[in-house]
Amino acid sequence: MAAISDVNPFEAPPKGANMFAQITDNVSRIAETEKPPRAWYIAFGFAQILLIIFFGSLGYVIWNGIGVWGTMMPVAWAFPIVNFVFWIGIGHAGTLISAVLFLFRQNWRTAINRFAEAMTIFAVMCAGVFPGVHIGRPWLPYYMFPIPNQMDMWPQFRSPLEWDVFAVSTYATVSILFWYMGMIPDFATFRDRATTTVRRVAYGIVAMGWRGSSRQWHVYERAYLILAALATPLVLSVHSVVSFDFATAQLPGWHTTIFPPYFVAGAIFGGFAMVVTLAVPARQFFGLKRIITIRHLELMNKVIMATGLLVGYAYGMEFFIAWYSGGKYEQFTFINRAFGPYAWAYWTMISCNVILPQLHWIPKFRQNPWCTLAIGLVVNVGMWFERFVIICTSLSRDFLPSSWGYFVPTPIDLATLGGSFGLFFTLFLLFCRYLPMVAMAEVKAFSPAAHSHADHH
Amino acid sequence: MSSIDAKKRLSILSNAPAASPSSSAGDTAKPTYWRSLAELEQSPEFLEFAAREFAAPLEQEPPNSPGRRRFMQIMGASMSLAGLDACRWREDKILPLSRRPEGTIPGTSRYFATAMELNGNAVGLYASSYDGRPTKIEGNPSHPDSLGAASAYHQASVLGLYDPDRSDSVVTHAGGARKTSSWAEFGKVAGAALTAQRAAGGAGVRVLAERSSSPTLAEQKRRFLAAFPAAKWVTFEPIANDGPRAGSALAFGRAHRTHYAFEAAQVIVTLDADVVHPTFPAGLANARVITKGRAPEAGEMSRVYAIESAVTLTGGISDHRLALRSSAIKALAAYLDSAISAKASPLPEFGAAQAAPAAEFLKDAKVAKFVEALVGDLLANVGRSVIVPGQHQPAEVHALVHRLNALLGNVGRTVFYTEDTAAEATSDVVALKALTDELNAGTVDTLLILGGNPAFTAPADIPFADAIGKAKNSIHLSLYEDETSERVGWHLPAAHYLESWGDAQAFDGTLSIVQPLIAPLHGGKSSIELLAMLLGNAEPNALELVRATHPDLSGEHPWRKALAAGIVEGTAAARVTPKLNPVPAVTLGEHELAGLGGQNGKLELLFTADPKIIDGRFANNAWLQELPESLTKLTWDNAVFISPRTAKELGVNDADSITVTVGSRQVTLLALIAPGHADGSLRITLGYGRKSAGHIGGLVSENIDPVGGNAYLVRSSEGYEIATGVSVQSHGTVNYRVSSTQDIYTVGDIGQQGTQERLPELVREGTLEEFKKKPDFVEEIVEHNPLLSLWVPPVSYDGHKWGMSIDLNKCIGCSACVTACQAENNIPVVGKENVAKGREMLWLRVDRYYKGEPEDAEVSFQPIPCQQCENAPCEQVCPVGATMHSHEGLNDMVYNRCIGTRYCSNNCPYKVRRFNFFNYNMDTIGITPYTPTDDPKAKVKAMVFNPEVTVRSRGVMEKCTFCVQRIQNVKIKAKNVKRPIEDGEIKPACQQTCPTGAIVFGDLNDGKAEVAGLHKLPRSYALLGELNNRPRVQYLARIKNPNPALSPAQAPKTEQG
Amino acid sequence: MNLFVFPRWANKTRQIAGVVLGVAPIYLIALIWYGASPKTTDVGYQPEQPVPYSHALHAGQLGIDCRYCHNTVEDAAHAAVPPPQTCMNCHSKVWTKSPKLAPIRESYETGKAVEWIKVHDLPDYVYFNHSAHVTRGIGCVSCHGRVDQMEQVYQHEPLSMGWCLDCHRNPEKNLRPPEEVTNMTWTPPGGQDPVEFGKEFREKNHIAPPTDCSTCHR
Repeated sequence: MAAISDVNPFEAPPKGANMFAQITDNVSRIAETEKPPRAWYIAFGFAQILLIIFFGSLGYVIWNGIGVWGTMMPVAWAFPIVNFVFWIGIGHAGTLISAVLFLFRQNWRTAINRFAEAMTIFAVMCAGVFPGVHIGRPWLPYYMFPIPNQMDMWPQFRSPLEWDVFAVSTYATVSILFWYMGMIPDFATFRDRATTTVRRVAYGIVAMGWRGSSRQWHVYERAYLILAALATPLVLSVHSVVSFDFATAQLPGWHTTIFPPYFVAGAIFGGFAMVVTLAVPARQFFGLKRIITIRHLELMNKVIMATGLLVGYAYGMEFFIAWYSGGKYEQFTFINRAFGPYAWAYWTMISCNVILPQLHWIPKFRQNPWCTLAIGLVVNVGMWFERFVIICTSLSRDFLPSSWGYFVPTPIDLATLGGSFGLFFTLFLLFCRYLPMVAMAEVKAFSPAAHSHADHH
Repeated sequence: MSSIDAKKRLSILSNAPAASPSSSAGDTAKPTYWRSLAELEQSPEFLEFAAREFAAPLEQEPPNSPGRRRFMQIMGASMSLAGLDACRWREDKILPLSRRPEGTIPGTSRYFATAMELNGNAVGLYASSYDGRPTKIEGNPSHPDSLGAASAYHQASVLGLYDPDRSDSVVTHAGGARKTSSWAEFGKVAGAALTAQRAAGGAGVRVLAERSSSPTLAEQKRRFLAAFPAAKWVTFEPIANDGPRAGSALAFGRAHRTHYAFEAAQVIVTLDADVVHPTFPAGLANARVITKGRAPEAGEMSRVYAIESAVTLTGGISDHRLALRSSAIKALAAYLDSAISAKASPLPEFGAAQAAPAAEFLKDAKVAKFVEALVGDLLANVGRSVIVPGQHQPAEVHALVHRLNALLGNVGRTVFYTEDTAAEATSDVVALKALTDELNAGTVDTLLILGGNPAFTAPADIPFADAIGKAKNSIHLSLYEDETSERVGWHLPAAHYLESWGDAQAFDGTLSIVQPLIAPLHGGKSSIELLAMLLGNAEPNALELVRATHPDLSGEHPWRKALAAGIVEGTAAARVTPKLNPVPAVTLGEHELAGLGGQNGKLELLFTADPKIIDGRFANNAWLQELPESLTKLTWDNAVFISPRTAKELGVNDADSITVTVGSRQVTLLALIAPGHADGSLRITLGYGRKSAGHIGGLVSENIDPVGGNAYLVRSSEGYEIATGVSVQSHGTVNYRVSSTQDIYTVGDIGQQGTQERLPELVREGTLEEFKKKPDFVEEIVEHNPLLSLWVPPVSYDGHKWGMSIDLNKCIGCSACVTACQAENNIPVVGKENVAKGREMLWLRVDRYYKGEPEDAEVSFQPIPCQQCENAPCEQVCPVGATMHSHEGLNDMVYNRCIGTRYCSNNCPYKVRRFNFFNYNMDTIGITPYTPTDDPKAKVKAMVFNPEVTVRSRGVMEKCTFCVQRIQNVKIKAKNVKRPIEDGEIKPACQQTCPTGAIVFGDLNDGKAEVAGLHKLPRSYALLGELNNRPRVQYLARIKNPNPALSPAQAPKTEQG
Repeated sequence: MNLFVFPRWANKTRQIAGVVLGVAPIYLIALIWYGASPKTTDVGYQPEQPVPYSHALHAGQLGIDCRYCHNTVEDAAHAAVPPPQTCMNCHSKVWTKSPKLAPIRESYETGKAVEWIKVHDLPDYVYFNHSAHVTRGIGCVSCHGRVDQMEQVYQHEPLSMGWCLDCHRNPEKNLRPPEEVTNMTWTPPGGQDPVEFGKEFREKNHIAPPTDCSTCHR
């Protein structure tokens, strides 16, 4: 692999060498090489174990009833919903990078958008699992869809959960389209470089007969633009709708108008954190150092800092409003959050999401891949705890002290949480192995070479 | 419904054994029933029926019973594709009776009056018979000790009837090993033994019986003793207190019973007496009467002073409560006598007053102030006060109180006496000791134990359990094969009171006929029948025996009348005014005179009957085990109560495991810090730690741990009721889970602070003065903006508008309503582990709050059913519309639509929704409609279910429905004949059983309805009304009537700003 | 080098795919719509009864009123299946030897129930009350069909929730004078349109069938 990464696609080409070819070569080889780096095998094996744990625990839950989770009264929503919101949040960066940054002509996105999008889709898949299995009777979720039936029963559209169903499925659909569209030209590249029949046919089919004719490019660009335009509002809508689950409820700590922007900011925050978490090892092991450069990481770290500050602001504002509103129950909830039985969770969240990311003010720090990775991980933890704090602490102590309780997760809870990462990484590693990890076509379009002889246009 | 009505038919027995005596006489004459059961056992729908049945508690997460898998497939399928041929509903059968008795309508319930006896006092009950099987127990309004109320254990007795652990066969240990035998076999052996004894006049025969007021049993006893003149009859009742008997004997020369007319009392003083508790003689009636006299609307309220060690229900409703060691009460009574005699100048024949005792605790400023005010109030209300001594207080205290009541002119006004003809000469303990000695001396040939479980309940220093074996023949008649049965030669299955004819008397002597509703399920016999059998009647017929005892009821009409009414008019004992003898100067020991508090080694330990399982007899009743104890909200456990201060001194923390040492005896159990408990005092409730109770209460032979700790281990005949010189050693927190449904007092400083801050808003209180000054003071307690709604109300509530009013001034926290709800609505038991996780399923909970400082906290109770909000938060968040608003304002909960997102519970500010985290009803019984079983016991359990209510499966949410099944049934009946529904015609189970009538349900649109009036009262408020949920349940603020001489008990904290 | 190109036939796949994707859903929906509907699955359920009792004979030809046997229908939730006692009222005199009636006689003597098989079988969580319907003027025929023509009783209506709601929402078409409920062939007097009659009748008797969940589910 090292051999490949030594070729810098962005340098002026050595005599007789075509630099576009270098980029192609650089990316395609990852999928073509006989043996991926050992790291890949280790990671994949690990992911497999987690995946087995995941399905095992879900089977156990469905078999016995959700009582095997720590879920209780009054904390009737716990880990499953926390995980759901967490993964949905992760799933935001992808569309943001590919759609929003695209519309803003942020060319640096090209290096990372492909696997950000992949990450999005896999995250949404993980998220999608939870609402289905967390319900008491997992064999009846179709009651939530408007299907004509002999009971003359209809779903109840006033319920935010009902909105979720549509918001999330729309988001998933658009993301997948977007992702696939983007890959078509690169599939074609793979197809044409293919050495074995299997690869030839497989990539050939998914490439849908892409020829790279200028007409195809013309249509492609337009379609991509339209999709981007369609996807952009979704970035805001999905997590806003998810936040309605809580914001529209009456529970102190949930019933908060700041939730939609707060959740979106948090989602992007967590999403980017996950991108860097994946990007750093990826560029390391697949020799993409020259494509995903320090500059890219730095830019992402800046986004993380910005959104991190937004989230921090939201935390503060919650407290302010609680005080300002004069609502006795509201005030108690937040004091209880910070100093009650779940204080440990709250302060984990604060330090992970607000304090530590500030290290990125130091240029040296944010330009170091490993520090980037560290902060990425920290923020992921923090964002999971944010959801835990919002959901569990608010529920554990609501209006009537008589019904207060304290939620304690069971091993099954942890298994389902850990296991969901198994699903995510399995999918992601397969993606790294078999699909174009970087949008070659787009990278080329913005590489120096593309602009060296502008007179062609 | 379909299969239910199949069931309804199949389980029709010719409705009342009442109607067919033949069906009531034990195994010989059970065909009517057994035939039907035999039928039942084969019929598929019975199996299904059985599947909807009561679940044994879930000890841990349930097994993957194939049952559930099947259940999921089939329910899943049949719910989704409502009946593709492949998964059409199972074939149901309809089994009509071959002859339907006149007037029986299949699938409807009828009520029969009966009575349940405990410790020699009967409470009259109505038992509903659903197609011939009792399903629900309610109080009999015309019974003096019930007035329509039934306590938790009365109502749970129906579950006991169907308890599969009940003994179902005669068992003999003759020759060591346990062998099942038969009545006939027993008859032979016993007959032989007794004939052998006849010669000696039965000198070697001893009968040990529970206390009973049954005239028929007394008659049998008379005959038995006539047949065996030299035999002895011993009565032992572990929860019987000797104080009242000995005390009245001391004061009047002969044993008398004391009856109180609280309605005429302006000042009520309890000396360590829980007068409103069901276990107190006529307690249910007392509760009704006392709370009636405390309605502020009347302008005048009685004032209740409670002086007690443990916080009692009476202490809870009292205006002034003084926490004082039980052992200090005697000195206090003596002091009251000295103080009052000084002012009241008693008649010479009353004798000299007690000298003012030099007791430490009386020097305490707080106590002195309290007692002074009390004396003042008593003297200001001569003839309008009443002093009640605690049952477990010694004779002298009772005697002194008799004297005090006489001095205060209460006798004949608020205090009445009847002769206690049933009273024995000695205390039960003395009698039992004598019997044990005889056994050990080997002079006892045949020992007959009628009921009870003396091997378990005998005082620790009386080795009765081991002595049983000394008798040549020992016979034990009991519902279960318990600790005693294991030690006797012959164990005989007893008949449940719902299975056998009998009679019993109320505390005031009023006679009730105990009417069976079903033939003995397990061929048991009652004590009456057994005695008759031993007297040579091979085929005893309890009905005939009972009728023979009451010649004045011989006619068919009076008999029917007695059965229908549940009481026999005019059988109450005559009230007498006994002459008061001088009370000799009481002896006061160190403990009686000591100051407040008490250091280790000088503590006192109070033994009381457990409010739920009494002396352990109901230990195997899961409803009672899971019922949260009124004050600690503790389930599946008992504990040592300690006052916060004493606990601190002893270095005991909440939920520590501690060893209590009384003399040479020790027991280790859980310590609970009970706010308001008297310093230097400990309290344990009896009856826990049973080793042979059954699969619920503990069955060591099958590795089912006992529930709780056995207090009898440290209860010796010295300090039988109040032990002194007790020491405590803490082992710190052990790995042991306390399952209480409400957080024990300490929820952390923040929680504590938050709780205290919001309490005045949740449980609104005021004093009578404040109320008179400003009747609507409750309005000011919460400030909020005008309540506006975004939407126009979706429903216009013309027609009915159901609502409920709960009077916090009346609620005494006894939790009878909770069990009523459980019985009525097929609410599953979830077991200790799940309760600890807050997963109890009880639809109605009684919240208990402590106010003020832990040391002298005040208690207040607040029952919380579903508030049936008009603007319900739960409804709008359910994605599938499983909880919808009805046109009468109910939040209908539709189990079969619910997919279990639990969002509704999250959004419910009252957290009244309950979720089936597991298949509580099906898993734990091991059968489902789709997995037939041949285990008849499993099937019998199912019979307790109320077919009017769907039995919920796993994964659905459920909650209080205002007993919609009762509403519907009355509505339909009324509409069928086009008549309006009377107010009070529909009573939810909770209201129906409430001893104090604190709960009132009705139609708010009906101007004349009581509930409509109550909602209009100025002290009526909506809990969390500021959230604009518009709950249909409203609470009436609690009003206290403090003595101005003492600082106001509790000023309403109005939050400004 | 040889590049992958879609073979010519691949072009056809588009049309084929189009057709399939267009038709398949419609077919599927139609299949479930019809196949899973109680009309298909439940109507016509006709189990073999232990006694070949003919409603056609008793209710039809002999014209015995429904309430002679199902006597609790007007004042209880359940229209009770008669005890053999009822049968014996006549059959102690007629057909006393008939082998077909053996189970009845046996049950009458031994007291062991005849195991009739339930035809109209609602789920356990549905609480239907006969009296509420009969006293309002809903005829037997509306839910049970022409029982007087059934040799062996079968289910005539879907008895699905939607079916119940149809009538609860507009009951006019099924209303009739309560005294006529057991009349299988009743039509409004003077050839009046049944719906018209129903409307008037409903007005007159304030019949407002509730559609709250708790009407049937408890």
